[in-house]
Amino acid sequence: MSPAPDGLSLLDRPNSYIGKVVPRPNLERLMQGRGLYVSDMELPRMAHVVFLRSPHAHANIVAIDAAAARGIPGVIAVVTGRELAMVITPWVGVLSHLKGLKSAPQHAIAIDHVCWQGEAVAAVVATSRAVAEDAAEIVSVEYRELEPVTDMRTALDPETPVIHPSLGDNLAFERQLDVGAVDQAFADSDAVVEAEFVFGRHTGVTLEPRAVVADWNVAETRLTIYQGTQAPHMVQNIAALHLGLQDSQVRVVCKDVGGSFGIKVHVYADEMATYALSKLLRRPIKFVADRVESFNTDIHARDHRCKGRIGVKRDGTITAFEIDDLTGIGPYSMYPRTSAIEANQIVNLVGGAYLTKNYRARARVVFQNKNVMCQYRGVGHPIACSVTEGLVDLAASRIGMDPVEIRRRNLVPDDGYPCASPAGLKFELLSHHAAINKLMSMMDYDALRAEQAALRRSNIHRGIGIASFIEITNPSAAFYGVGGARISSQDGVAVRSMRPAR
Amino acid sequence: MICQTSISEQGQGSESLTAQIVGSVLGVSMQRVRVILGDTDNTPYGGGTWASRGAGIGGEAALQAAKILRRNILDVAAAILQSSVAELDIVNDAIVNADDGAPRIDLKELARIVYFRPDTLPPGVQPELMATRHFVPREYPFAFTNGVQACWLEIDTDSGFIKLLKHWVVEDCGRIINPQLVDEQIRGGVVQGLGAALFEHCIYDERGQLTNANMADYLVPMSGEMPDIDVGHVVSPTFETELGAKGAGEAGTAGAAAAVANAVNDALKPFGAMITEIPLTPQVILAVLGRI
Amino acid sequence: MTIPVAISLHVNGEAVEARVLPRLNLADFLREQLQLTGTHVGCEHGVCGACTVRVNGDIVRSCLTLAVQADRASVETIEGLSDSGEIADLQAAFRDRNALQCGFCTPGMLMAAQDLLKSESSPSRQRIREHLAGNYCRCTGYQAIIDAIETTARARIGRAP
Repeated sequence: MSPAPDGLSLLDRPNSYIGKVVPRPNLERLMQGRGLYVSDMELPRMAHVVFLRSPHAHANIVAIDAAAARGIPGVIAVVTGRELAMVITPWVGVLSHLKGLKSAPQHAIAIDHVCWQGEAVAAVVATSRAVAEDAAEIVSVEYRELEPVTDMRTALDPETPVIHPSLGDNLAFERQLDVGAVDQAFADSDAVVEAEFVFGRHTGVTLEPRAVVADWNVAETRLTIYQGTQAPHMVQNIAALHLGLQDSQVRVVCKDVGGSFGIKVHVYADEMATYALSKLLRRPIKFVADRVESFNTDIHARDHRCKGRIGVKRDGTITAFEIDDLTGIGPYSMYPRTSAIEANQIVNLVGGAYLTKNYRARARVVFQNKNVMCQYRGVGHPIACSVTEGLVDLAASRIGMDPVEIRRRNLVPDDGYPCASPAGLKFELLSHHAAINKLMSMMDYDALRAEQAALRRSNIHRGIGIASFIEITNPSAAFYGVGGARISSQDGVAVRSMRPAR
Repeated sequence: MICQTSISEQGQGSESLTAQIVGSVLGVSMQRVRVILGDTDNTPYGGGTWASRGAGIGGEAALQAAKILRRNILDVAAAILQSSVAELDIVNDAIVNADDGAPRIDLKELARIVYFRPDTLPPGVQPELMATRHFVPREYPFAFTNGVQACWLEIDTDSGFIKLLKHWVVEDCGRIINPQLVDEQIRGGVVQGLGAALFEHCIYDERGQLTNANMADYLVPMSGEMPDIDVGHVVSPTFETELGAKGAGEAGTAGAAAAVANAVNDALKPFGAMITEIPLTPQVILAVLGRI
Repeated sequence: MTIPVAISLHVNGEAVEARVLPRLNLADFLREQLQLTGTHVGCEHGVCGACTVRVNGDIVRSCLTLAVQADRASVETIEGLSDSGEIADLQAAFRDRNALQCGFCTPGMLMAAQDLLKSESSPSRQRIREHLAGNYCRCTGYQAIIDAIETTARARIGRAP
């Protein structure tokens, strides 16, 4: 980099925008209600798809009778999983660097076997969504109910049915880590505290539900996918791969998106079905999930039960962390990012802000007959942080130390970089102590403690909670690429100078 | 300036950060930078926006491409003005003298010459007013950030209701491109974490039926219950890139629920109660207090 | 159920004649028949507020209103409020404070905010939070929206004669 004449870098120059608050360009159209969301789109000859969804968590499909539905005026087609499988191939949500991760092939529409309440069993395509919904109501599906797996704690018991017999059991992934001398550290501690942390499964609830318009142009043999996706090139690759097309035959266009947060970075069966339906029916097809569908089919996240242990000495030194995490995903590992990443991250991140080198972890990911689960904003961080910071507070409480004080004594010092965590993560430069100092002055911690004590005397119960965290950003190919995922860790920018008209 | 980028926009400010970087490096006003994203036909190949990578990776690609274009523009300007690159600069949409800032030629005029009157350029000059650069992290598998959060709340021990009084975040995400956009990402992320801590739960029954698949029964944070969130920063840039920016999109969500849970247990200390599950519904609070 | 009904109404000041099925809700009517897509559908059960419009001066959930109920009514959508300039100061405050990210909740938020400021010139922050409590936003965490409305309220008082 050549220094500018005044010795500043290109970014620090007087007219630089870096570090400045400037209004975002193009907010006007959003505030006028003139945004370009996929759910607003209309194309000529566009038809609407509604998915008939299984009411059962686990069942075999015995028969589908759509004769009456096909007779409703405005209904273009009723398509089953078997018919659609001739247009689009199934996928498996595994990556090679997550050793042992296994999952069964998933089809765009279920064939023979439905594995969660809400999984699509047929697609009804009509001239309007309302007509498609009317028709879906009279499609008759005969199911043979199977015993559902709904408790992660017993998913691996011998008596529990195996959801996909070809996999042998309901274990998707297991990882173990044992670093330092954990047992010795606990033996040397003045106190060992343990707790089981339970996290309620939840989901993203983007205000604009998932929406796709797939437009197969049979004359150009080109598929244009209008979708609010976070990763357009990934969708391009995957759609091409499974539809038997060249990448250059697929264009993905993403304009305004009504919220995403990771919900819209995954590949969903109903979206893949929509692309395939457009190719099959040779016209644009629109799919917009309604809110109930969103709750049932948008990826869920963070369904975990994590046992944690922490060892501590009287002087506040944390001696070791140990966790045993169990998570119950859906019946399939999501594609292409896999549903093992959340658990894998938890193993990587617990205790990562702290000095102790003694750390043992086990994480198990089990299949359930519930909605699929995958990365949602923060992924494994919230759980790793809640477990770690909860254990640290427990340790502080046990030895009668202030929670801020115990952190000051155990967080990696600000001049201790570069270094690596017990799980092997490399840290370039962090600032745990500077951050805590700043926090203390921003919140006036001592004043709040005094207020808390005073109010307690009047039976008013207030609490202060502190949580330090580390966080993964800017991932390299180490995250997905190494495992064979068609997910790029690089980005590009092309910039050109135009000649304006005046 | 037209700028095509492979990162994507969902409202967090990918378009803005790209325009801010390109405008700063090139010396042009942001209003003259048009950013194109979200179209595989019209953007370079790339990963998109996830795992808090837009600013750190996409931003660095924008910086490097803009640097090349800046050099290319100065090369043409030096040829036109019979000067040298070292003696020129680009400021406020014009080529100026590097030493005294005196304007020499407007960028619009330079572009006019390049696109319509290349016959007037010195022999052999082949102007290139477009540049593409990609960036991929090579040295560190991840650019780690850090932060700390605090929650101040009150528990009504009769009803089990929790009132969030205030929330704080101190975040270190390296170099900050637009402080307002970063702080707003943190706030939005915190509130998602607060939702998980207090309200949000996909409740399945033993038959695998999702019993609360609607917004009346699955509770999301609304404005009435959310606190104001104060955000502060420490800055530890990454040296792997010239931009030095790390990511910030998920930091709020990472620590918010932990801070709330620790605050609840702190508030309940006099009762000898301890809760390690979320969401912390009134039912959970009252149960641990032995009220139900 | 399947026989369209004739309705006659004003939308953003423009006279509209239409034939609608009784079951069609006002949100879908505006979006699909009039192509006014600024009114958004987020839940279809009246909770999220993305579909907020003004009917005869009052804000309503257009997903819970049938199009036939709007017969002979005056309906105003975000496009109308925006084009008339009625909320120009609110929009400017939203822009300056970055009180929107993805923009999907924004039309409803602006409608609800304007509704509040028309009846209360100096609402407290808590009062603003309460009035907006029927509008779901997932991106901002609300604080910026509250700030922008508070700023606008103060500015309007400053401009009042």
